[in-house]
Order: sequence, then C-alpha cells, then structure tokens
Amino acid sequence: MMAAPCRYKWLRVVPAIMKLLESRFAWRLAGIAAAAFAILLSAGPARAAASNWVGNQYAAVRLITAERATGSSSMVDAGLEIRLAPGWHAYWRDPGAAGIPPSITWQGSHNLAAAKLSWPAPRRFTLDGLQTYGYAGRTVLPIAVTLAKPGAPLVLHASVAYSACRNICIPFHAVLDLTLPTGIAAPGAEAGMIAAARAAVPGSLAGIGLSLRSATVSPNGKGGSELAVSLAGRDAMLTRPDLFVEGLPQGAPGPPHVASAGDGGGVRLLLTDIDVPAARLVGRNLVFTVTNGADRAATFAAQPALAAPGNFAPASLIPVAVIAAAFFGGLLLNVMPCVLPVLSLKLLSLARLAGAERRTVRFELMAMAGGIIFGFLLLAAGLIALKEAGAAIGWGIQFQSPWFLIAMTIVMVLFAADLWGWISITVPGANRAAAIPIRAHGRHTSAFLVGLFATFLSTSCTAPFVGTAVGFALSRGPLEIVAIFLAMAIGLAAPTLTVAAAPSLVSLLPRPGRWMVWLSWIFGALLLATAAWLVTVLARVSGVDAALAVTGLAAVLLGLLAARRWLDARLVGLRRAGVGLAGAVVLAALVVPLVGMPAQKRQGADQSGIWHPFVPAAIAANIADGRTVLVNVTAAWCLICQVNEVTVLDRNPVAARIAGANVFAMRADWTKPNAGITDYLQSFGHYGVPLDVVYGPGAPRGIVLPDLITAPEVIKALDRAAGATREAER
Amino acid sequence: MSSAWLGRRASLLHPPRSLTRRSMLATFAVAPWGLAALAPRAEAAQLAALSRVLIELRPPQKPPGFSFLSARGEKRTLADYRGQGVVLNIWATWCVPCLAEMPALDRLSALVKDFTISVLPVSIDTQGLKVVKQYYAAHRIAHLPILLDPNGEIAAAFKVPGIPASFLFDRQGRLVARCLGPANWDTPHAIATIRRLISDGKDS
Repeated sequence: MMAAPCRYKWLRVVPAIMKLLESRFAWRLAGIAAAAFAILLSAGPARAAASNWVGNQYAAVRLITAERATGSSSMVDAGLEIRLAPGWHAYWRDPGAAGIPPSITWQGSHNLAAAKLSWPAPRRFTLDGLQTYGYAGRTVLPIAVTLAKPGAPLVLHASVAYSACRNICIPFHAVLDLTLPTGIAAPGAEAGMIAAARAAVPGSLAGIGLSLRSATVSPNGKGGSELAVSLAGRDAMLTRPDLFVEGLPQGAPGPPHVASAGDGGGVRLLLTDIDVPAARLVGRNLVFTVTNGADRAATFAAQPALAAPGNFAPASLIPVAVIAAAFFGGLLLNVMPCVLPVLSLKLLSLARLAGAERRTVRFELMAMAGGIIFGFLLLAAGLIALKEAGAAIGWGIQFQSPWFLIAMTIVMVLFAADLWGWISITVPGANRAAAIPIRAHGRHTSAFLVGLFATFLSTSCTAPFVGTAVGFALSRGPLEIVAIFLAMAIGLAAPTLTVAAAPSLVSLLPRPGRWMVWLSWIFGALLLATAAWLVTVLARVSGVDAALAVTGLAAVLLGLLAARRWLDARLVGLRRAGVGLAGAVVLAALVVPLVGMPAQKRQGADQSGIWHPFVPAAIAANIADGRTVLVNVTAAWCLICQVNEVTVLDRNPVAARIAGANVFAMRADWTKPNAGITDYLQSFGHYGVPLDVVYGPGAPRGIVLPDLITAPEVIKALDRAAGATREAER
Repeated sequence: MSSAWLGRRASLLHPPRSLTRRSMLATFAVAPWGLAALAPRAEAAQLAALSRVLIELRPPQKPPGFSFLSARGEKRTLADYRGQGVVLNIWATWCVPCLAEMPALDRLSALVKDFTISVLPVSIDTQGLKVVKQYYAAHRIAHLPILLDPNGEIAAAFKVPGIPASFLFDRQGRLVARCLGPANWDTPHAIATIRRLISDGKDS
C-alpha cells in the first residue's frame, strides 16, 4: 500500500537523473564530471574515514580507511570501495577476455610513501563464451598505505581509472580525496569492511589446507592446450572450485573441469580451452588463483611441465607406435628370466609329440595362448577398476607390496624345484609346466593355466617397451588400456601362436634329449635368481630382517623338497607333504611380523653425496641459479633402472659430470609407494620407472631421456640443458 | 596373486557399494556430468537478437557531426560513404560486450557488401591502431576495416552512455536506427531488418 506511491514518485525522478547523467557523458570531460559529482554529494556530513562516492548509478568508487586519524603508526589501512548496480561488474587485476582493472595514481597526495593495492578473490562472468574475472555488488580492494612521516596528517588524492560492464561497458575516471588528520587512530565505521576484504585476498595454498601436487600442460587436439592442476589436501573439500590463470600469452580460459585427485584427497582442476600451444606454456611462470565460492581462495605460482600424452601427438587415437611397443614388449617378455622357463619349456615339451598328434599340439598351444590373453585381460580389468576407484596406479607398483614380493619369491622357488624335478607330486596344474607330458584329459586346461601363470609371472619382470606402452595405456581410458594389454598379450603369445599356426615348426626344434634336462636345470637356476632378486627388493621395501626371513623360508623349503626327493628314492609313503607344510607354516609365522616392521630408511641421498633427495621445488630453484638439474626416478625392483645406474649414471663420464658444482642431481626412489613421485611421473605421462629428466637454463621444461640411457645421450642432454648459460658466457 | 598385483589394498575387494556391473557402467557414464555440475556456475549471457535492442528512429534524424580516422590516420566522415548504407559501431578492445558481437559484425560485413552497405567499427581505444590490429589478427577479423577514434569524439557526439553502441545510416546519410549493447548482427532476420531500414524498401 505504502510502497506504490513511493515507487511512482521514484520513477518520475529517473528520467531526470538519466538525462543529467547522460549529458555528463562527454568522456573526455569525465574528470570534470566526476569533480562536479563530488561537489554535488559533498553536501553531506564529512566522514574522516571515507571519501565521497564518485560515479553514477551503475558504478561508483570511494576511498575508505580503517582508522579515523593517522595515529603513530607508519601504516594506514585503506581501501578502494566499488559499488556496482545489479548486473554490473568491475574487473580483477587480470580481467580475463577484456576489461580495465581499477588502477590508481596518487599524484597530489601528501605524506604518502607507498600504496599497495590488494585484490580479493575474483568471480567469473561469461558473455557469449567470453570469460571475464571481476567483482559484482560491493567490493573493497584493500590498500596498504605507508606514510612518509608517521604521525603527520595524510592527504590522499587518488585518480582511479576502471571500467564497469553489464551489456554495455563504461570507462570511469574518478578523482577521490580523503584527508586523515593527526590524532588517535581509532577504528572508523569502515574498519570492518577493510578487514573483511583483507581476509578475502587469496593467501597461500597451505593457508587453506591444500598443496600443489602437479601442474601439467598437454595439447588439447584443437591447436591449443589443456592445463591440469592437481591439488592435494585431505581436509580441504572444495565444493565449487574455480581456477584463474595469470601469465598466459593470450586467452581467458573458461571454468575448470573438476575431478577428485585420487587417493590422497584433494582435487584436480582441468582447463581444456587454452588458446596457446602446449609448447609455449611448458616451464612458463603462471600464477594460479583457486577459489571456492566466496569462502576460500589461494594464489600460487607454478611452471607447468609437459604431460606426456603430448609426446604422442594425435589425441584420441592410440598411435601405431604404442601398439607396436606393446607388442614387442610382450614378445621380449618371452625371454625375460621370469617367463622364459615357463613358456619355452612348454613349447619344447611339445616337440615330443610326434606329427601324428598335430591337432592335439595345435589345440594345446591355442589353449596356452588363450591363457595368456585371458591373463592380460584380467590385468587390464583390474587396472581399469583400480583407476576408476581413483587409486594411484603404475607399472611395477606391485613391487611396492611386500606380500606380492614374498608370494612371488616362494612361487619362483617352488617352480625352480619343479623344474629340477624335486616336486613329483601333482601340484596345481599350473606348476606342472615341466617337460613331462601330462595325460590327455585336462591337458588343455593345464596349457591354459600355464599361459595364465606365465602372464602373472611376467608382472614380476618388465621388458623394454613394456613400461612405455603400459604408461601410455594407464594415462588413457579403459578402451586404450584393453587395446594395449591385448597387444602385449599377443606379443607374449606370438611364439606360441606361430607354432600353433604351423605345427610343422615343431620338427625344426632340436630333438628332445638329455639337453632338455640340462635346460631345465638352467631355467630353474634362472628362476631362483629371479627369486633372489625379489628378496633384495623386499629388503628395500620391508627391511633386511624380512628379506632374511624369506630367504630362510625359501632355503628351508628348497632343502625340504631336496631332502624329500632324496628320501623318496628310499622311503615311499613318507608324510612328505605334511613335513613341507609344517615347515612352511612355521616360517610364515616368523615372516609375517617381520614384514610389518618399519622398513629401513633409505633416502634418496646416498653416501657419495652426489645424489640429493627428490624435492620438486628444487628444480626451479637450481635452474634459477643457473645450474643443470638431473632427476633420476628409480626403484630397486626396476631392472632397467639398475642397468642405467650401473652402466651410465654411476660411471664416468656421467658420474664425474653430475658430481660437478654446476649439476644438481636428485634421485627419487619409487621402491616404496610415494604419492609425490607418482605425481611427478604422471606429469610426464609416465606410469612406471625409470624416468630421467634433465633441466637447465637451456631447457627449463626438462628433457626426458629414453628409458634405457647411454652416457653420450646423458652428456648431450646435460649440455643442451646448460645451453643458455654457456652461450651467455661466450 | 592378482590381488597382490593390484598393489595398494585393492578397493576392488571392498567396493564402496555393492556395485553390479551395470551400475558400475552407469556410474562411469554419469560421472563426468556429475562433475560438470560441480563446476562453478558462471554468470552467462548470450547475444541478444537485433530486433530486441534496435531502436528505429522515425522520421530519420540528422546525425551530429563526427569524424574518425582510418588505419593510416586519414580523417573520415560520413560524407565519405555517401550513397551507401552505413552500420556504425562504437567499440573498444577492453569492452567484452563489444568483443562478443565483433565476429557477428565481421560476418555481417561480408554478407551485406553486395547491397552497398558498409559496416564501420570505430574503436575508441586510447592505444589506437596497435591493440585493434592485435585483436583483428588474434580473432581473424577479415571483413571489417580498422577505424579509430582514440579521443572518444564519436561517443561524445552521440552522447552514448556506454559501448557497444551502433548507429544505422541510410543512403542519404540520415540516422535511421540506434542500438545500445551487443546484438546478433548476422542472422537472416537481422540482415533483412538492416536492409529494410537502410533502403526503406525503395531500392536494394
């Protein structure tokens, strides 16, 4: 009832105000207009802690201070308050697609030594796909004013330029005057607003319970790039995260895609529409501001690393090279010590079957290949499920589990014993891969299980190419994982399938004879060597005690089996199984508590002092100091890593070079699970070790070395990375 | 063996809910959308239809005197376009609503060239040629001339409250319509409206 007449009265005034305002919009004379406004409005009671509003009905600004007088401090908390009509916004220090952020010049002020403007966390505005970052409603930009002469009056004379937009934009120029007298610095009415604005200025990531895991960039398939920022933090739930990037050569990315960052909590933010090729962003200094609605914000700097999917150019397709790598990796697995005995002996055993049984041979081989393929599909399914569940996955992570190591050690020992003919009782079909032909019934099942077993055995080895292919697969979706694992399976099954396709090839194999027994012994020794290696890995993962216990268990097991065989010759019907089992149980009881014991510490830094522990932040710091940085990611269970260390890194000329003052070498030990190292690997699209990266003034984004390195390659990369400094010296 | 291979205590063994295969697939298919919904809702706006923002002036008015500069710094006035229809647009590179309609104006320019209608975007950027050239290059503006008014004289002459502001002139140089704010300039309906206003049905 009361409202209606009031509203009408107000409406009648509007055209008059509009006319007045529009007539003032000779923009060259904006300053004069602003001054006129100031005079118009200065009729009200003067408040020491705030200047008058200068602007129009859409946007206006004024200066405010927290204190009413300068007091005795050398600092005064001030602020630029911006008032915007509904639908209007002003801009953040980075306006996004376009806009004029508020800028202040202080000419004409007295007793002002410095004035530092701070920026509360921005909001995102979108117009027809164009992204801008700024503020709506009422905002205060805090200003830390330093006085030239503490205790003397402060005269602020601010010329403020900014733009405000709705569906149209207006450039504003306001001249603001505020004088603080001398006197007691009692807080004014605006003190609370300035304090609230200070609290809204983004602080450090740690301040909101987050830490930066990784920042990576990769091509987005549209000529631009994708920027992924992974933030860790268990307690900090970001419900409405937004991410702003400053320092891009051009473009203003839209809102991020948000995903959970996996095991450690936190969040992964992905900006997919950056109009700059990935190569231009690698190593570039970018400033990120992450916000969560209005409640939390943090600013941090990062130099994105190249995410490796970018190394394989076409985005969605699996490159032929990766499929080929998977196939050859699988093929090479055939000759790795943990697989060779199983499949090759099976193949050789078939040589016994005469040509008359061709069909049988073929079926048996097909069953074995089927077992291999089934095994790999199982692994792929397991990995996909783990990946979907958000677990950190990688090729070789099974070696980080002591239980896997113990189980595999025992399996290797048992299997070696089997090859040596020390196990003559019927153990589960899988272990009966040895030279003795099995009766026809269940033969296919047995062959299938041999294939399956070989697959799982192969996971305790890794062959060249396997890491590359699996790394690529794990960085992609389920389809790619299945495709690449299938290629690997076919590679591993290739010899089997070849013989199945042409059973006559069997006749090319050497005639069975005494040599096969010798071969069985050699292969058995190979398996035992693998077991020994697994024990050394266990020593690194769970400590020397556990390793010794497992070694003891294995030795006793082997001894029992040998003894039993010896006894077998004499005493038939001894409760041999019972003896073996009892021994195994007793030893297992000893091992279990030992595995649980804290592992012996083995930090990245070794005795020689050449290798420093891996600290990602040290990379940039050392590059800044003009040094070259070598990051070596390794693991005790990674054979290629050991080969690299022994043949290249720990040997001259590389060892001498990295011991020099100009090189900072860091070793990241992935023997045990380590989320930081996993993230570092993944920032290069690697899901396994080894990974060697060389950084330097000449290569701030890093040079990724091949899996199997050579000394000349490392030296060349170090030279290239140091490039910039060397040229500067010339 | 396989559970050992899975490394970290396999969450497969302890799935969060009893996940049947189908529900797992469903979760997988839906997850990205669910996450998309998590993304911050930006204050979005689209370009308005020209008919919604264009104000026709009847009868046509005599425009205020104004001039602007070509990319080479030559002074231009409306008289230089006598006999043509003109769509004059006042814009700046710092003005997002202006940038929003620039691609539409660019396409409009190509579409109405044959009807002897010129689209003239005049930038009021104080930095002038440099920033406009950059913007044209970065956004592949191909059919628009570079025209400048670094002192904002046009905006003052037309007393526009803000930009973008556009003005339509018929072939006699009379002001026939104006519009404030960005518009979708290159729809068939918009082009028909522009042609009607400029030619007033007499010629085309």
